[in-house]
Amino acid sequence: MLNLNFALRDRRVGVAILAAFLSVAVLAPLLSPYDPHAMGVPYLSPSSAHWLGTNDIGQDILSELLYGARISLFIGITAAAIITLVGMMVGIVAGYLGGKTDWILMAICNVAMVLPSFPLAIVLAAYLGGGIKSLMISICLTAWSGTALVVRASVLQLRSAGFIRTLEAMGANSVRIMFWHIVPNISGLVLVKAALAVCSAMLAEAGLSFLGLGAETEKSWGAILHYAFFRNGVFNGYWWWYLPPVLCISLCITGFMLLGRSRRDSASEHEVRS
Amino acid sequence: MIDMLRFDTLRVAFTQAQQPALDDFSLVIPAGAKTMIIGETGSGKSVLLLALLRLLPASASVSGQIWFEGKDLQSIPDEELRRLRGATFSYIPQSSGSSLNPLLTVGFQVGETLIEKHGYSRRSALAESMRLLEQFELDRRVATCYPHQLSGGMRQRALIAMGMAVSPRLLLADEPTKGLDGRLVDDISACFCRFRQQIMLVVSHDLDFTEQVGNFVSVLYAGQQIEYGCKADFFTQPLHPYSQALLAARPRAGLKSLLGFAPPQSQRQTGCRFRERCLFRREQCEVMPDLFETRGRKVRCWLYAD
Repeated sequence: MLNLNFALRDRRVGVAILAAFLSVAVLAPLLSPYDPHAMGVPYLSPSSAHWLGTNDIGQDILSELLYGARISLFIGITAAAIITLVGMMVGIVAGYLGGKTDWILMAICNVAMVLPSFPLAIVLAAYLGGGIKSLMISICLTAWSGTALVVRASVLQLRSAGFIRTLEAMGANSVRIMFWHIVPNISGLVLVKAALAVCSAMLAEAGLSFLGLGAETEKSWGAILHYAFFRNGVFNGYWWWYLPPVLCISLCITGFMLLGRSRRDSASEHEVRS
Repeated sequence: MIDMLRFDTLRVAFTQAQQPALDDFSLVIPAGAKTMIIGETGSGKSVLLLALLRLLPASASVSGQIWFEGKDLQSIPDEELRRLRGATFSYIPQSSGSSLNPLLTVGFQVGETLIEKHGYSRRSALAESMRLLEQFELDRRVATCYPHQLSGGMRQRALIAMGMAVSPRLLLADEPTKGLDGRLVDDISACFCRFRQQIMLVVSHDLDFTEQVGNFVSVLYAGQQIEYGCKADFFTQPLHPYSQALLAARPRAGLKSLLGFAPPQSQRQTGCRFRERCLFRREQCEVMPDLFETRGRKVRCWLYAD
Protein backbone atom coordinates (compact mmCIF):
# COMPACT_ATOMS: atom_id res chain seq x y z
CA MET A 1 0.00 0.00 0.00
CA LEU A 2 2.76 2.36 1.01
CA ASN A 3 4.67 1.47 -2.11
CA LEU A 4 1.67 2.03 -4.33
CA ASN A 5 1.08 5.37 -2.72
CA PHE A 6 4.69 6.27 -3.39
CA ALA A 7 4.45 5.10 -6.99
CA LEU A 8 1.37 7.23 -7.55
CA ARG A 9 3.25 10.28 -6.37
CA ASP A 10 6.15 9.65 -8.62
CA ARG A 11 6.45 11.76 -11.72
CA ARG A 12 8.53 9.05 -13.37
CA VAL A 13 5.56 6.70 -13.44
CA GLY A 14 3.54 9.31 -15.29
CA VAL A 15 6.40 10.02 -17.65
CA ALA A 16 6.83 6.30 -18.37
CA ILE A 17 3.13 5.82 -19.14
CA LEU A 18 3.04 8.83 -21.42
CA ALA A 19 6.30 7.89 -23.13
CA ALA A 20 4.83 4.48 -23.91
CA PHE A 21 1.67 5.98 -25.38
CA LEU A 22 3.56 8.59 -27.35
CA SER A 23 5.89 6.05 -28.89
CA VAL A 24 2.91 3.86 -29.78
CA ALA A 25 1.28 6.85 -31.45
CA VAL A 26 4.42 7.72 -33.39
CA LEU A 27 5.23 4.14 -34.35
CA ALA A 28 1.64 3.06 -35.06
CA PRO A 29 2.31 2.24 -38.76
CA LEU A 30 5.21 0.00 -37.76
CA LEU A 31 3.50 -1.68 -34.83
CA SER A 32 0.06 -2.41 -36.22
CA PRO A 33 -0.30 -5.75 -37.90
CA TYR A 34 -3.01 -4.51 -40.32
CA ASP A 35 -4.24 -1.34 -41.95
CA PRO A 36 -6.96 -0.22 -39.49
CA HIS A 37 -9.25 0.67 -42.36
CA ALA A 38 -8.83 -2.62 -44.25
CA MET A 39 -11.94 -4.79 -43.98
CA GLY A 40 -12.02 -8.53 -43.45
CA VAL A 41 -14.09 -11.11 -41.59
CA PRO A 42 -16.34 -9.36 -39.00
CA TYR A 43 -16.80 -10.22 -35.30
CA LEU A 44 -13.73 -12.47 -34.94
CA SER A 45 -12.71 -13.40 -31.38
CA PRO A 46 -9.11 -12.84 -30.23
CA SER A 47 -6.71 -15.21 -31.96
CA SER A 48 -3.05 -15.30 -32.94
CA ALA A 49 -3.93 -13.59 -36.23
CA HIS A 50 -6.06 -10.86 -34.61
CA TRP A 51 -4.95 -10.39 -31.00
CA LEU A 52 -8.01 -8.35 -30.17
CA GLY A 53 -10.32 -9.78 -32.78
CA THR A 54 -12.12 -7.76 -35.45
CA ASN A 55 -15.04 -5.34 -35.38
CA ASP A 56 -18.38 -5.31 -37.18
CA ILE A 57 -16.83 -4.68 -40.59
CA GLY A 58 -13.82 -6.89 -40.05
CA GLN A 59 -11.23 -4.23 -39.13
CA ASP A 60 -8.43 -5.40 -36.83
CA ILE A 61 -9.16 -3.92 -33.38
CA LEU A 62 -5.52 -3.90 -32.22
CA SER A 63 -4.55 -1.81 -35.25
CA GLU A 64 -7.51 0.52 -34.62
CA LEU A 65 -6.35 0.91 -31.03
CA LEU A 66 -2.75 1.70 -31.99
CA TYR A 67 -3.79 4.27 -34.60
CA GLY A 68 -6.38 5.57 -32.14
CA ALA A 69 -3.56 6.66 -29.83
CA ARG A 70 -2.54 9.16 -32.53
CA ILE A 71 -5.92 10.83 -32.85
CA SER A 72 -6.79 10.77 -29.15
CA LEU A 73 -3.42 12.14 -28.04
CA PHE A 74 -3.29 14.68 -30.86
CA ILE A 75 -6.72 16.05 -30.03
CA GLY A 76 -6.06 15.95 -26.28
CA ILE A 77 -2.70 17.71 -26.43
CA THR A 78 -3.62 20.28 -29.08
CA ALA A 79 -6.87 21.20 -27.37
CA ALA A 80 -5.05 21.45 -24.03
CA ALA A 81 -2.41 23.71 -25.61
CA ILE A 82 -5.10 26.02 -26.95
CA ILE A 83 -7.03 25.98 -23.65
CA THR A 84 -3.90 26.71 -21.63
CA LEU A 85 -2.57 29.41 -23.91
CA VAL A 86 -5.90 31.25 -24.10
CA GLY A 87 -6.54 30.84 -20.38
CA MET A 88 -3.06 32.08 -19.51
CA MET A 89 -3.29 35.13 -21.76
CA VAL A 90 -6.71 36.10 -20.44
CA GLY A 91 -5.61 35.54 -16.84
CA ILE A 92 -2.42 37.57 -17.16
CA VAL A 93 -3.98 40.47 -19.02
CA ALA A 94 -7.00 40.63 -16.70
CA GLY A 95 -4.90 40.28 -13.55
CA TYR A 96 -2.15 42.68 -14.49
CA LEU A 97 -4.03 45.44 -16.31
CA GLY A 98 -7.05 45.32 -14.01
CA GLY A 99 -9.78 47.96 -14.30
CA LYS A 100 -12.15 47.81 -17.25
CA THR A 101 -10.11 45.18 -19.09
CA ASP A 102 -10.31 42.91 -16.08
CA TRP A 103 -14.03 43.55 -15.75
CA ILE A 104 -14.79 42.68 -19.36
CA LEU A 105 -12.55 39.61 -19.48
CA MET A 106 -13.92 38.29 -16.20
CA ALA A 107 -17.48 38.82 -17.42
CA ILE A 108 -16.72 36.65 -20.46
CA CYS A 109 -14.93 34.17 -18.25
CA ASN A 110 -17.88 33.89 -15.88
CA VAL A 111 -20.23 33.25 -18.78
CA ALA A 112 -17.89 30.51 -20.01
CA MET A 113 -17.82 29.04 -16.51
CA VAL A 114 -21.56 28.78 -16.01
CA LEU A 115 -22.28 27.30 -19.42
CA PRO A 116 -22.66 23.53 -19.04
CA SER A 117 -19.64 22.60 -21.07
CA PHE A 118 -20.42 19.06 -22.15
CA PRO A 119 -24.01 19.64 -23.35
CA LEU A 120 -22.75 22.78 -25.08
CA ALA A 121 -20.02 20.77 -26.77
CA ILE A 122 -22.62 18.23 -27.90
CA VAL A 123 -24.82 20.94 -29.40
CA LEU A 124 -21.84 22.60 -31.04
CA ALA A 125 -20.40 19.40 -32.42
CA ALA A 126 -23.80 18.48 -33.84
CA TYR A 127 -24.25 21.96 -35.29
CA LEU A 128 -20.77 22.28 -36.80
CA GLY A 129 -20.81 18.74 -38.18
CA GLY A 130 -18.15 16.09 -37.73
CA GLY A 131 -14.43 16.48 -38.13
CA ILE A 132 -11.46 17.18 -35.92
CA LYS A 133 -11.81 20.95 -36.28
CA SER A 134 -15.34 21.20 -34.94
CA LEU A 135 -14.48 18.70 -32.22
CA MET A 136 -11.60 20.95 -31.18
CA ILE A 137 -13.78 24.08 -31.17
CA SER A 138 -16.45 22.40 -29.03
CA ILE A 139 -13.84 21.17 -26.52
CA CYS A 140 -11.98 24.48 -26.25
CA LEU A 141 -14.81 26.99 -26.30
CA THR A 142 -15.45 27.08 -22.55
CA ALA A 143 -12.61 25.06 -21.05
CA TRP A 144 -10.10 27.95 -20.87
CA SER A 145 -12.03 29.76 -18.14
CA GLY A 146 -10.70 27.65 -15.24
CA THR A 147 -7.09 28.29 -16.19
CA ALA A 148 -7.84 31.98 -16.66
CA LEU A 149 -9.25 32.31 -13.14
CA VAL A 150 -6.34 30.52 -11.46
CA VAL A 151 -3.74 32.46 -13.44
CA ARG A 152 -5.48 35.75 -12.72
CA ALA A 153 -5.48 35.03 -8.99
CA SER A 154 -1.76 34.38 -8.87
CA VAL A 155 -1.01 37.39 -11.08
CA LEU A 156 -2.96 39.58 -8.66
CA GLN A 157 -0.71 38.27 -5.92
CA LEU A 158 2.44 38.84 -7.98
CA ARG A 159 1.43 42.31 -9.06
CA SER A 160 2.20 43.73 -5.63
CA ALA A 161 5.65 42.10 -5.51
CA GLY A 162 8.53 44.52 -5.16
CA PHE A 163 10.13 43.73 -8.49
CA ILE A 164 6.97 44.47 -10.44
CA ARG A 165 6.65 47.81 -8.64
CA THR A 166 10.28 48.57 -9.44
CA LEU A 167 9.78 47.73 -13.11
CA GLU A 168 6.83 50.08 -13.19
CA ALA A 169 8.86 52.78 -11.50
CA MET A 170 11.51 52.30 -14.17
CA GLY A 171 8.88 52.70 -16.87
CA ALA A 172 8.96 49.17 -18.27
CA ASN A 173 6.06 48.62 -20.64
CA SER A 174 3.21 46.35 -19.65
CA VAL A 175 3.86 43.76 -22.35
CA ARG A 176 7.42 43.33 -21.13
CA ILE A 177 6.31 43.03 -17.51
CA MET A 178 3.63 40.50 -18.36
CA PHE A 179 5.64 38.25 -20.64
CA TRP A 180 9.21 38.58 -19.39
CA HIS A 181 8.55 38.79 -15.69
CA ILE A 182 5.14 37.37 -14.87
CA VAL A 183 5.07 34.36 -17.21
CA PRO A 184 8.16 32.62 -15.74
CA ASN A 185 6.78 33.15 -12.25
CA ILE A 186 3.51 31.39 -12.99
CA SER A 187 4.89 28.73 -15.32
CA GLY A 188 4.73 25.95 -12.69
CA LEU A 189 1.06 26.57 -12.11
CA VAL A 190 0.33 26.83 -15.82
CA LEU A 191 2.03 23.50 -16.56
CA VAL A 192 -0.06 21.78 -13.88
CA LYS A 193 -3.20 23.24 -15.39
CA ALA A 194 -2.00 22.17 -18.84
CA ALA A 195 -1.55 18.53 -17.77
CA LEU A 196 -5.04 18.54 -16.26
CA ALA A 197 -6.42 20.21 -19.37
CA VAL A 198 -5.11 17.31 -21.46
CA CYS A 199 -7.14 14.96 -19.24
CA SER A 200 -10.37 16.88 -19.62
CA ALA A 201 -9.84 17.38 -23.35
CA MET A 202 -9.24 13.66 -23.88
CA LEU A 203 -12.33 12.79 -21.87
CA ALA A 204 -14.41 15.30 -23.78
CA GLU A 205 -13.12 13.90 -27.06
CA ALA A 206 -13.90 10.33 -25.99
CA GLY A 207 -17.37 11.37 -24.86
CA LEU A 208 -18.22 13.23 -28.05
CA SER A 209 -16.84 10.49 -30.27
CA PHE A 210 -18.71 7.86 -28.29
CA LEU A 211 -21.91 9.76 -28.98
CA GLY A 212 -21.03 9.77 -32.66
CA LEU A 213 -20.24 13.47 -32.72
CA GLY A 214 -16.53 13.10 -33.37
CA ALA A 215 -14.68 12.63 -36.60
CA GLU A 216 -16.61 9.84 -38.33
CA THR A 217 -13.74 8.44 -40.30
CA GLU A 218 -10.96 8.94 -37.76
CA LYS A 219 -10.04 6.06 -35.49
CA SER A 220 -9.98 7.56 -32.02
CA TRP A 221 -10.52 5.53 -28.85
CA GLY A 222 -13.88 7.19 -28.34
CA ALA A 223 -14.88 6.23 -31.89
CA ILE A 224 -13.96 2.57 -31.28
CA LEU A 225 -16.20 2.63 -28.21
CA HIS A 226 -18.96 4.22 -30.25
CA TYR A 227 -18.98 1.34 -32.73
CA ALA A 228 -18.53 -1.28 -29.99
CA PHE A 229 -21.68 0.06 -28.35
CA PHE A 230 -23.85 0.76 -31.34
CA ARG A 231 -22.87 -2.32 -33.34
CA ASN A 232 -23.75 -4.73 -30.55
CA GLY A 233 -20.20 -5.34 -29.22
CA VAL A 234 -21.20 -4.44 -25.65
CA PHE A 235 -24.55 -6.20 -25.96
CA ASN A 236 -22.89 -9.43 -27.01
CA GLY A 237 -20.16 -9.17 -24.38
CA TYR A 238 -17.23 -8.83 -26.81
CA TRP A 239 -14.97 -7.45 -24.05
CA TRP A 240 -11.92 -7.45 -26.33
CA TRP A 241 -13.70 -4.75 -28.34
CA TYR A 242 -14.89 -2.29 -25.69
CA LEU A 243 -12.46 -2.88 -22.82
CA PRO A 244 -9.11 -1.98 -24.48
CA PRO A 245 -10.12 1.60 -25.49
CA VAL A 246 -11.51 2.20 -21.99
CA LEU A 247 -8.25 0.99 -20.44
CA CYS A 248 -6.18 3.08 -22.83
CA ILE A 249 -8.13 6.25 -22.04
CA SER A 250 -7.92 5.63 -18.28
CA LEU A 251 -4.23 4.81 -18.30
CA CYS A 252 -3.35 7.76 -20.49
CA ILE A 253 -5.28 10.16 -18.27
CA THR A 254 -3.62 8.66 -15.20
CA GLY A 255 -0.28 9.43 -16.84
CA PHE A 256 -1.15 13.10 -17.35
CA MET A 257 -2.63 13.35 -13.85
CA LEU A 258 0.58 12.02 -12.32
CA LEU A 259 2.59 14.45 -14.36
CA GLY A 260 0.41 17.35 -13.26
CA ARG A 261 0.23 16.24 -9.68
CA SER A 262 3.93 15.71 -9.20
CA ARG A 263 4.59 19.07 -10.80
CA ARG A 264 2.20 20.65 -8.37
CA ASP A 265 3.90 18.95 -5.44
CA SER A 266 7.34 20.07 -6.50
CA ALA A 267 6.02 23.56 -7.24
CA SER A 268 4.58 23.94 -3.75
CA GLU A 269 7.70 22.48 -2.17
CA HIS A 270 9.68 25.10 -4.05
CA GLU A 271 7.47 27.85 -2.72
CA VAL A 272 7.91 26.64 0.82
CA ARG A 273 11.65 26.67 0.47
CA SER A 274 11.89 30.18 -1.02
CA MET B 1 19.79 78.72 -8.76
CA ILE B 2 17.20 77.30 -11.10
CA ASP B 3 14.60 75.13 -9.50
CA MET B 4 14.26 71.79 -11.22
CA LEU B 5 11.91 69.92 -8.95
CA ARG B 6 9.21 71.64 -6.99
CA PHE B 7 6.53 70.26 -4.73
CA ASP B 8 3.57 72.57 -4.28
CA THR B 9 1.29 71.94 -1.28
CA LEU B 10 1.27 68.23 -2.01
CA ARG B 11 -1.28 66.25 -0.05
CA VAL B 12 -1.82 62.50 -0.19
CA ALA B 13 -4.71 60.81 1.56
CA PHE B 14 -5.74 57.19 1.34
CA THR B 15 -9.29 57.29 2.62
CA GLN B 16 -11.57 60.20 3.26
CA ALA B 17 -11.98 59.46 6.94
CA GLN B 18 -8.32 59.12 7.76
CA GLN B 19 -5.82 61.88 8.18
CA PRO B 20 -3.65 62.35 5.10
CA ALA B 21 -0.43 60.34 4.91
CA LEU B 22 1.33 63.44 3.68
CA ASP B 23 0.04 66.95 4.26
CA ASP B 24 0.87 70.35 2.82
CA PHE B 25 4.31 69.38 1.54
CA SER B 26 6.15 72.10 -0.34
CA LEU B 27 9.77 71.89 -1.34
CA VAL B 28 11.98 73.39 -4.00
CA ILE B 29 14.98 71.44 -5.14
CA PRO B 30 17.52 73.37 -7.21
CA ALA B 31 19.52 71.81 -10.03
CA GLY B 32 22.20 69.42 -8.90
CA ALA B 33 21.07 69.36 -5.30
CA LYS B 34 20.89 66.23 -3.24
CA THR B 35 18.00 66.47 -0.87
CA MET B 36 17.62 63.98 1.92
CA ILE B 37 14.21 63.26 3.37
CA ILE B 38 14.50 61.91 6.87
CA GLY B 39 11.82 60.78 9.26
CA GLU B 40 10.46 57.83 11.17
CA THR B 41 8.54 54.93 9.70
CA GLY B 42 5.07 56.13 8.75
CA SER B 43 6.05 59.76 8.44
CA GLY B 44 5.17 59.80 4.73
CA LYS B 45 8.62 59.51 3.16
CA SER B 46 7.96 56.67 0.77
CA VAL B 47 4.56 58.05 -0.13
CA LEU B 48 6.33 61.18 -1.32
CA LEU B 49 8.46 59.24 -3.81
CA LEU B 50 5.56 57.13 -5.01
CA ALA B 51 3.43 60.24 -5.49
CA LEU B 52 6.15 61.71 -7.68
CA LEU B 53 6.25 58.56 -9.80
CA ARG B 54 2.44 58.33 -9.76
CA LEU B 55 2.62 54.79 -8.49
CA LEU B 56 0.32 55.14 -5.53
CA PRO B 57 -2.63 52.75 -5.45
CA ALA B 58 -5.81 53.98 -7.07
CA SER B 59 -7.36 54.52 -3.63
CA ALA B 60 -4.97 57.38 -2.90
CA SER B 61 -6.16 60.90 -3.56
CA VAL B 62 -3.41 63.32 -4.41
CA SER B 63 -3.77 67.08 -4.52
CA GLY B 64 -1.23 69.80 -5.13
CA GLN B 65 1.39 69.80 -7.83
CA ILE B 66 4.80 68.40 -8.50
CA TRP B 67 6.76 70.34 -11.10
CA PHE B 68 9.78 68.91 -12.86
CA GLU B 69 11.57 71.03 -15.47
CA GLY B 70 8.44 73.10 -15.98
CA LYS B 71 6.05 70.16 -16.33
CA ASP B 72 3.32 69.30 -13.87
CA LEU B 73 3.87 65.61 -13.25
CA GLN B 74 0.36 65.12 -11.92
CA SER B 75 -1.26 66.15 -15.21
CA ILE B 76 1.01 64.87 -17.98
CA PRO B 77 -0.37 61.84 -19.85
CA ASP B 78 0.51 58.35 -18.63
CA GLU B 79 2.51 57.52 -21.72
CA GLU B 80 4.73 60.59 -21.35
CA LEU B 81 5.33 59.79 -17.70
CA ARG B 82 6.21 56.21 -18.57
CA ARG B 83 8.85 57.50 -20.99
CA LEU B 84 10.32 59.72 -18.26
CA ARG B 85 10.54 56.84 -15.79
CA GLY B 86 13.67 54.83 -16.32
CA ALA B 87 15.19 57.46 -18.60
CA THR B 88 14.93 60.88 -16.96
CA PHE B 89 13.90 59.51 -13.58
CA SER B 90 15.27 56.51 -11.90
CA TYR B 91 14.15 54.80 -8.74
CA ILE B 92 16.07 52.72 -6.25
CA PRO B 93 13.54 50.70 -4.28
CA GLN B 94 13.78 49.67 -0.68
CA SER B 95 15.35 46.25 -0.62
CA SER B 96 13.20 43.32 0.35
CA GLY B 97 13.02 39.65 -0.56
CA SER B 98 10.93 40.40 -3.60
CA SER B 99 12.57 43.48 -5.05
CA LEU B 100 14.28 41.42 -7.73
CA ASN B 101 12.59 38.84 -9.95
CA PRO B 102 13.59 35.47 -8.45
CA LEU B 103 13.69 33.75 -11.85
CA LEU B 104 15.93 36.09 -13.83
CA THR B 105 19.64 36.70 -13.36
CA VAL B 106 20.79 39.75 -11.46
CA GLY B 107 22.89 40.95 -14.39
CA PHE B 108 19.95 40.90 -16.76
CA GLN B 109 17.76 42.79 -14.33
CA VAL B 110 20.38 45.46 -13.64
CA GLY B 111 20.73 46.12 -17.37
CA GLU B 112 17.13 45.55 -18.40
CA THR B 113 16.13 49.20 -18.49
CA LEU B 114 19.14 49.90 -20.72
CA ILE B 115 17.82 47.37 -23.22
CA GLU B 116 14.30 48.67 -23.17
CA LYS B 117 14.87 52.40 -22.93
CA HIS B 118 18.32 53.11 -24.24
CA GLY B 119 18.68 50.73 -27.17
CA TYR B 120 21.42 48.56 -25.69
CA SER B 121 21.85 45.03 -27.00
CA ARG B 122 21.57 42.24 -24.44
CA ARG B 123 25.31 41.70 -24.58
CA SER B 124 26.29 45.32 -24.07
CA ALA B 125 23.69 45.74 -21.32
CA LEU B 126 25.21 42.78 -19.51
CA ALA B 127 28.70 44.23 -19.88
CA GLU B 128 27.46 47.54 -18.51
CA SER B 129 25.75 45.90 -15.57
CA MET B 130 28.93 43.96 -14.75
CA ARG B 131 30.84 47.24 -14.77
CA LEU B 132 28.29 48.80 -12.43
CA LEU B 133 28.28 45.80 -10.11
CA GLU B 134 32.05 46.05 -9.84
CA GLN B 135 31.71 49.70 -8.97
CA PHE B 136 29.71 48.59 -5.95
CA GLU B 137 32.31 46.00 -5.01
CA LEU B 138 30.39 43.04 -6.27
CA ASP B 139 32.14 40.38 -8.27
CA ARG B 140 31.38 40.28 -12.02
CA ARG B 141 30.13 36.75 -11.50
CA VAL B 142 27.24 38.12 -9.45
CA ALA B 143 25.72 39.10 -12.80
CA THR B 144 25.03 35.45 -13.59
CA CYS B 145 23.57 34.70 -10.16
CA TYR B 146 19.92 34.57 -9.24
CA PRO B 147 18.65 36.87 -6.46
CA HIS B 148 18.33 34.08 -3.88
CA GLN B 149 22.07 33.42 -4.14
CA LEU B 150 22.82 36.94 -2.92
CA SER B 151 22.83 38.30 0.61
CA GLY B 152 20.57 41.19 1.55
CA GLY B 153 23.40 43.69 1.29
CA MET B 154 24.44 42.38 -2.12
CA ARG B 155 20.88 42.63 -3.36
CA GLN B 156 20.65 46.18 -2.11
CA ARG B 157 23.82 47.09 -4.00
CA ALA B 158 22.49 45.42 -7.14
CA LEU B 159 19.35 47.55 -6.84
CA ILE B 160 21.45 50.69 -6.53
CA ALA B 161 23.43 49.64 -9.60
CA MET B 162 20.12 49.14 -11.40
CA GLY B 163 18.93 52.63 -10.48
CA MET B 164 22.21 54.25 -11.45
CA ALA B 165 22.58 52.31 -14.72
CA VAL B 166 20.41 54.67 -16.73
CA SER B 167 22.25 57.86 -15.61
CA PRO B 168 19.03 59.72 -14.82
CA ARG B 169 18.55 63.45 -14.33
CA LEU B 170 16.51 62.77 -11.23
CA LEU B 171 17.39 59.91 -8.94
CA LEU B 172 14.91 58.80 -6.32
CA ALA B 173 16.09 56.40 -3.66
CA ASP B 174 14.12 54.76 -0.89
CA GLU B 175 16.44 53.87 1.98
CA PRO B 176 19.41 52.82 -0.12
CA THR B 177 21.54 51.89 2.89
CA LYS B 178 19.07 49.61 4.59
CA GLY B 179 20.78 46.47 5.84
CA LEU B 180 24.31 47.48 4.94
CA ASP B 181 27.24 47.66 7.32
CA GLY B 182 29.29 50.79 7.91
CA ARG B 183 31.98 50.20 5.33
CA LEU B 184 29.49 49.52 2.56
CA VAL B 185 27.49 52.57 3.55
CA ASP B 186 30.68 54.58 3.03
CA ASP B 187 31.17 53.06 -0.43
CA ILE B 188 27.63 53.84 -1.38
CA SER B 189 27.83 57.40 -0.13
CA ALA B 190 30.96 57.79 -2.23
CA CYS B 191 29.01 56.56 -5.24
CA PHE B 192 26.12 58.90 -4.55
CA CYS B 193 28.53 61.80 -4.09
CA ARG B 194 30.07 61.18 -7.50
CA PHE B 195 26.77 62.11 -9.12
CA ARG B 196 27.03 65.86 -9.35
CA GLN B 197 24.75 66.89 -12.20
CA GLN B 198 21.66 65.07 -11.12
CA ILE B 199 19.02 65.97 -8.64
CA MET B 200 18.70 63.40 -5.97
CA LEU B 201 15.86 62.82 -3.60
CA VAL B 202 16.85 60.24 -1.05
CA VAL B 203 14.65 58.90 1.68
CA SER B 204 16.62 57.61 4.62
CA HIS B 205 16.70 57.19 8.31
CA ASP B 206 20.41 56.83 8.40
CA LEU B 207 21.69 60.15 9.74
CA ASP B 208 25.37 59.45 9.02
CA PHE B 209 24.57 58.64 5.42
CA THR B 210 22.47 61.79 5.22
CA GLU B 211 25.34 63.84 6.52
CA GLN B 212 27.78 62.39 4.02
CA VAL B 213 25.63 62.64 0.92
CA GLY B 214 23.04 65.40 1.22
CA ASN B 215 23.15 69.09 0.40
CA PHE B 216 19.76 69.77 1.92
CA VAL B 217 17.79 68.03 4.59
CA SER B 218 14.05 67.89 5.00
CA VAL B 219 12.59 66.35 8.12
CA LEU B 220 9.17 64.73 8.07
CA TYR B 221 7.17 64.00 11.18
CA ALA B 222 3.73 62.37 11.15
CA GLY B 223 3.03 63.36 7.56
CA GLN B 224 4.30 66.91 7.76
CA GLN B 225 7.48 68.65 6.86
CA ILE B 226 8.77 70.15 10.10
CA GLU B 227 12.18 71.39 9.12
CA TYR B 228 14.10 72.19 5.97
CA GLY B 229 17.56 73.62 5.60
CA CYS B 230 20.98 73.05 4.18
CA LYS B 231 22.94 70.16 5.60
CA ALA B 232 25.62 72.14 7.42
CA ASP B 233 23.06 74.24 9.28
CA PHE B 234 20.92 71.28 10.11
CA PHE B 235 23.68 69.19 11.61
CA THR B 236 25.37 72.02 13.50
CA GLN B 237 22.24 73.71 14.75
CA PRO B 238 18.95 71.87 14.32
CA LEU B 239 15.97 74.13 14.96
CA HIS B 240 12.93 71.98 15.61
CA PRO B 241 12.83 70.24 19.00
CA TYR B 242 12.28 66.95 17.15
CA SER B 243 15.37 67.47 14.99
CA GLN B 244 17.35 68.30 18.09
CA ALA B 245 16.17 65.12 19.74
CA LEU B 246 16.98 63.18 16.59
CA LEU B 247 20.57 64.36 16.54
CA ALA B 248 20.94 63.90 20.28
CA ALA B 249 19.95 60.27 19.87
CA ARG B 250 22.94 59.51 17.67
CA PRO B 251 25.63 57.32 19.23
CA ARG B 252 28.26 60.02 18.99
CA ALA B 253 25.95 62.49 20.74
CA GLY B 254 25.44 60.09 23.62
CA LEU B 255 22.36 58.08 22.59
CA LYS B 256 19.88 60.27 24.41
CA SER B 257 16.57 58.74 23.53
CA LEU B 258 13.38 60.62 22.88
CA LEU B 259 10.42 59.43 24.90
CA GLY B 260 7.06 58.52 23.44
CA PHE B 261 5.91 57.61 19.97
CA ALA B 262 4.81 59.49 16.91
CA PRO B 263 1.00 59.62 16.82
CA PRO B 264 -0.42 57.00 14.45
CA GLN B 265 -2.28 58.29 11.43
CA SER B 266 -5.67 57.73 12.97
CA GLN B 267 -4.92 59.64 16.17
CA ARG B 268 -3.48 62.88 14.87
CA GLN B 269 -5.24 65.80 16.51
CA THR B 270 -5.24 69.44 15.75
CA GLY B 271 -2.28 71.46 16.83
CA CYS B 272 1.38 70.62 16.65
CA ARG B 273 1.77 66.88 16.17
CA PHE B 274 4.96 66.76 18.17
CA ARG B 275 3.66 68.55 21.25
CA GLU B 276 3.03 65.41 23.33
CA ARG B 277 6.74 64.64 23.28
CA CYS B 278 8.06 68.18 23.21
CA LEU B 279 10.10 69.72 26.04
CA PHE B 280 9.16 73.25 24.95
CA ARG B 281 5.43 72.73 24.88
CA ARG B 282 3.28 75.76 25.53
CA GLU B 283 -0.33 76.84 25.07
CA GLN B 284 0.24 78.02 21.52
CA CYS B 285 1.02 74.45 20.50
CA GLU B 286 -2.69 73.55 20.53
CA VAL B 287 -2.80 75.38 17.20
CA MET B 288 -0.91 73.97 14.23
CA PRO B 289 2.16 76.13 13.57
CA ASP B 290 2.99 77.24 10.02
CA LEU B 291 6.25 76.46 8.32
CA PHE B 292 8.07 79.61 9.45
CA GLU B 293 11.06 80.96 7.58
CA THR B 294 13.98 81.93 9.69
CA ARG B 295 17.52 82.68 8.52
CA GLY B 296 16.95 80.98 5.17
CA ARG B 297 15.61 77.84 6.81
CA LYS B 298 12.14 76.59 7.40
CA VAL B 299 10.77 75.17 10.60
CA ARG B 300 7.30 74.26 11.80
CA CYS B 301 7.47 75.35 15.43
CA TRP B 302 6.06 78.28 17.43
CA LEU B 303 9.50 78.88 18.95
CA TYR B 304 10.50 80.50 15.68
CA ALA B 305 7.27 82.37 15.01
CA ASP B 306 8.72 85.87 14.88
